[in-house]
Amino acid sequence: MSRTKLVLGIALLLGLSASAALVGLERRAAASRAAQVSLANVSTELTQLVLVPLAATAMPGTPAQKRPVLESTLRAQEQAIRSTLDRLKRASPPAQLGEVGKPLDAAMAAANAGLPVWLANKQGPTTIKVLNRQGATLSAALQSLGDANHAYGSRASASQIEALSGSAAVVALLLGAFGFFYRRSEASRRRMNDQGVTLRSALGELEAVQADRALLLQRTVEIAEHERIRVAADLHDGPIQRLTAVTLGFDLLSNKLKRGEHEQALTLVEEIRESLAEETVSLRRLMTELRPPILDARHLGAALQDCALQVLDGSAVRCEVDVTRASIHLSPELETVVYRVVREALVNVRKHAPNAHASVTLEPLGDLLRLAIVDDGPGFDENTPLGHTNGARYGLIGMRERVESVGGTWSLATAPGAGTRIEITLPRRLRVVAASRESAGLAA
Amino acid sequence: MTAGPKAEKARRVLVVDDDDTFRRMLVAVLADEGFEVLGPATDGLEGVALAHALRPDAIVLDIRMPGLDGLAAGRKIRDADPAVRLVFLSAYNDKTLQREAEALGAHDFLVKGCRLSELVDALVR
Repeated sequence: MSRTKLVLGIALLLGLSASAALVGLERRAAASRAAQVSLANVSTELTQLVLVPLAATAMPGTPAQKRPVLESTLRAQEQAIRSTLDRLKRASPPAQLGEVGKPLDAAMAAANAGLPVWLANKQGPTTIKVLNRQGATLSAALQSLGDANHAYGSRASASQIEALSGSAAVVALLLGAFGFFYRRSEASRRRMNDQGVTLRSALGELEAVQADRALLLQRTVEIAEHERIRVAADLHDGPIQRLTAVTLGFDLLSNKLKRGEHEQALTLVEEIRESLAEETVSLRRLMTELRPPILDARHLGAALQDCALQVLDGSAVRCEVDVTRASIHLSPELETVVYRVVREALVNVRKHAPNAHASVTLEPLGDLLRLAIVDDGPGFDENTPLGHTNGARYGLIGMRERVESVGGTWSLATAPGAGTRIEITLPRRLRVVAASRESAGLAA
Repeated sequence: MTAGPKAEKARRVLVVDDDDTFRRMLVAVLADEGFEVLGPATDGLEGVALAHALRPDAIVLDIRMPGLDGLAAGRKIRDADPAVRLVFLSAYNDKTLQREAEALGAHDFLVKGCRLSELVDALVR
């Protein structure tokens, strides 16, 4: 159940409870009022007993004629009074109601006793005594009725208090529950609001990261596509041309052999062999550019040493390669990036700073790796526009894109006469990738 | 394949190819087959210029070349000399390129690595 439904349920219970309490209260009050009204009627009827003698004197006819009417009137009054009292006694009567019976009996007896006197219409002392006795019993009966009436009122008040107390207790309980859940609900709402803010913030960050990842992926795909285009072009311009030339060479060789031109055939065989040897070197270079085999045969440090020896072989550039502090396993992608950046940078050194002293340093930098390729050559103006550097700047741009494509940073510091320093940092998401590679190797 | 001259129909052949090694070998083979090899040209523009200047019977054209590629060069040559025999000899074997070559009236489209006899047939057939 949701909190909203819970709160609504509590509110509904509160309403129902209050309504039930009010209905009960009203019902009890109505019952008490009805009892009081009945008692008032009884009082009226008792009082009317006093009127019987007066009615007797006022009635026409002889006493014999009047007597049955008056007796019938008395019986009817008595029956009405007793019926009302019985009904009141059955419906939760107060103790005082029981006291009404005796004065009523006395009053009825007095009325019956006085009846002959009234019928004789005598106003003497006997009549006065009878009337006095009748008045006293009537007064006692009325007193009892008054007490009962008061008791009914008290009882109604007590019922009211009881009903109100019960209702108040239920309402208080429900209000407490409501407050408890409301507070919880309010706290939950605040907490959810806070969580919402946090979530929105996290979502924003996530979207930003996703955007970066998408951009990174796009650039990676672009670089990979450029790489494939370059490799395809290299294959077209290199191996395919040479090997098809070799096929033509064999055709030519065949012709010469058929014509018995053995000397020319031998010369052609040598040319074909030389061409194939050159093509082997070309293919090996292409393979090395795609993925230097030494990276797999040894490790990155050895590969970078080997790279410096190859690129700078025959030049006057002196170069130290220091990767001793970073003897760790990188992912193949990062290894290749490092290798290519170093190769590109050293090719530039050989080309633009042929007498320089250079160094290649790969070292840990916190959670990152830092690679620096430094030379003390002539340097150049960083702000030289593209197109005025014989393509050298394009190599730097490619280098930078390659580094940034794996989440690294690239920086260049150079000036005319001040040498050149290329520094990159790379993420060290190494262990996981290295572990997965090892796992893959084991699985294979 | 038989040795000896076979270029009765197209004796004078212009070679247009930007790859030095292949071009050198192609010239040698065609010469050995008895063709009078003209040029050679090392790119499309030079090929167009030599075609106009030398009026060869046939032209062997590479397709992927710097500047003006073989198809564009062949179109210009064909426009200037509808009778010249155009034989494309490319490292590509794409059908699209073949159709484009046919569309401009090429006599044949061969893929590098084909037998010499196929090339000779294309030139003399």
